[in-house]
Amino acid sequence: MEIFKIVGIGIIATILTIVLKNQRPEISLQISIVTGVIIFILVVTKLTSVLETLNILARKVDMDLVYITTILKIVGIAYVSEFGAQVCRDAGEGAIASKIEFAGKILIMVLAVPILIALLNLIVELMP
Amino acid sequence: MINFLRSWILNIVSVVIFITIVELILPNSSMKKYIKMIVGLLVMLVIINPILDLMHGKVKLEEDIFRTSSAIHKQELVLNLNHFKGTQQKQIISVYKGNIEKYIKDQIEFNNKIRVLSIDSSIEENVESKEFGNIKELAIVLSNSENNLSKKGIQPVSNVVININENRENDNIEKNENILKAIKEHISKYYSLDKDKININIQKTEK
Repeated sequence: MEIFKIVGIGIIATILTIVLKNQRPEISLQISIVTGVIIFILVVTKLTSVLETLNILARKVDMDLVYITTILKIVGIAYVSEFGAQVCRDAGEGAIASKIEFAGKILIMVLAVPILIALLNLIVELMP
Repeated sequence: MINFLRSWILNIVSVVIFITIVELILPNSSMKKYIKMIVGLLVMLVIINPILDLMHGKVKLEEDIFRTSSAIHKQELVLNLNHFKGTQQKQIISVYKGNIEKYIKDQIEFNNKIRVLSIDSSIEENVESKEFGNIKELAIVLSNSENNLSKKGIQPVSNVVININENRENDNIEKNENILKAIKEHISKYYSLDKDKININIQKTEK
């Protein structure tokens, strides 16, 4: 079972970080980053299969593929930036974390602009 | 008509289901509202699109989106390209400058048996200029300490013989002047550089 693995890694890492926090805070930070990366990787493989299934589903009902790819890209950006921001926040660097989130927001907006313009064009054409 | 309605409803329902699943796996953070807004735009598109189809015939919405996003990418690329061009040019110029300085140094040391401490050149860096790459100014610092570079290894002691003679000092200066003249002549001949633009100093580190 995957979940036992992940929870085990998480608990062990938590105990280690708590033990080390007073003596060597920098090493406890590294442990937490590495744990985050490991869990992220373990879950990302599962996420890929889920996304693949969604893609196949979308193709079956003949949805426009642009929407799907855009949404998936946005979700990916949100996840990665969230991960980075959380790692930074764990280390006590709230400022850097908010910058990472800011970058993620901008990239999401860049992806959204074409959809926005298409919608606007559509509405303009719809007007008599 | 029934067919049209069927595909429309199917499309809307599938998009809504899809979006629900996507929202489930979203990280719950400040990102969520941005994503929700974009997803809302998409739902609007999906709902409106068939109406337009009905009124105006087939509209290629995907093409529209692609065109806009490719325009954005192109703009980005152009910006990046300009930046890279600038950096590349700077690197090329610095390498070129280094090569010229090294070459001049080698030449002076070889021809005049004198040590060159440093060479500082300024080069026409404007690409549009006709004289791009020409040397504009040249500052050379020579060392006086080991005047005879080639003999240094052979007879190190004999240099320290009595040095009270004033004549010799004069001689030295004259010799230096000659060397300077020769170097200037040489460089200005090779690089078609005005002699006034060449600045040579001799550093006295004898004692």
